[in-house]
Amino acid sequence: MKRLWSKYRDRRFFAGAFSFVELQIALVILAMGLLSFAGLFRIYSLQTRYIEQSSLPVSTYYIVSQSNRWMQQLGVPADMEQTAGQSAWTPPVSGDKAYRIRLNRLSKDFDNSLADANVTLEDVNE
Amino acid sequence: MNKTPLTLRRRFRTGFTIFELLVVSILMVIVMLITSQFWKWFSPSVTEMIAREHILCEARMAAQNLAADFGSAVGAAPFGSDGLVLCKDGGDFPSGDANWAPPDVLVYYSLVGNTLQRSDLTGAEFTVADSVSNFTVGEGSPLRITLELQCRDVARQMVFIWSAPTP
Repeated sequence: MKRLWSKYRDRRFFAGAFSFVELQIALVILAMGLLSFAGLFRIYSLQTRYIEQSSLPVSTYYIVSQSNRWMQQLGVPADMEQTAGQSAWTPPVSGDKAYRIRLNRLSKDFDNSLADANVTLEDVNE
Repeated sequence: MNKTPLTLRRRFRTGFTIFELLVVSILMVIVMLITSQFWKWFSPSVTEMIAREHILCEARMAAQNLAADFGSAVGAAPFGSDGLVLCKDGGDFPSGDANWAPPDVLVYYSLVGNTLQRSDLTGAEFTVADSVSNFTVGEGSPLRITLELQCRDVARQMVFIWSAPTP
């Protein structure tokens, strides 16, 4: 036993290998890394819950179609409101035939309500 | 001649001892036990988070598709037991009335399995949202659409009411 202990005390013994303390520190750092990684997931979960609560506070939405004829022709999406409209829906398009609208180009993002359009108007009264 | 035994001795000195291995093994078992206990606590919240995010994504897709089609809609009605048909004003001179025939464009939404499908008379058909457990369209005015989504234990109900613009 005394011989074994003297081997431990020999500096050359520790020269080329990991020491017990080094290994212990490495394990502690590994455990801390694992815990912090899991902590990140926990924060992400809480944020997702917060987003869900803030983005969808109510589950009832009022779909309001475009009342403007131009908007209808250009295919603009309906508005999603969280308050009710004045009355039951009646189609707002008057049907006045002033121009023949030809849509030449339309580009819009799926997420964005903005659209870029190029149209040609032909006066049908002339 | 005496070089070989010395080299061998040095080589053995650079490795772990059985005592160190024992201590490391015990520590590793402790770390694994702590990790497994932590994972046991953490795993359900991860599963729930994934399900909640999936539901949110699908609900958003369904809402955006409905909004896109309702933008120029002049008529909407229930179609079958779990379907919706929309009449979008079409042609060079939109009449403003739901004629339910060309040049108006008819768009259908229907529940197939647990997916919400969209199709029109051009033959184009695609899945709007999945994980849909129920899709109902109420009769009468205003039109009321109920969309229910479910993924694992997470469920969400959304009600869409076709409404006139606010003043």
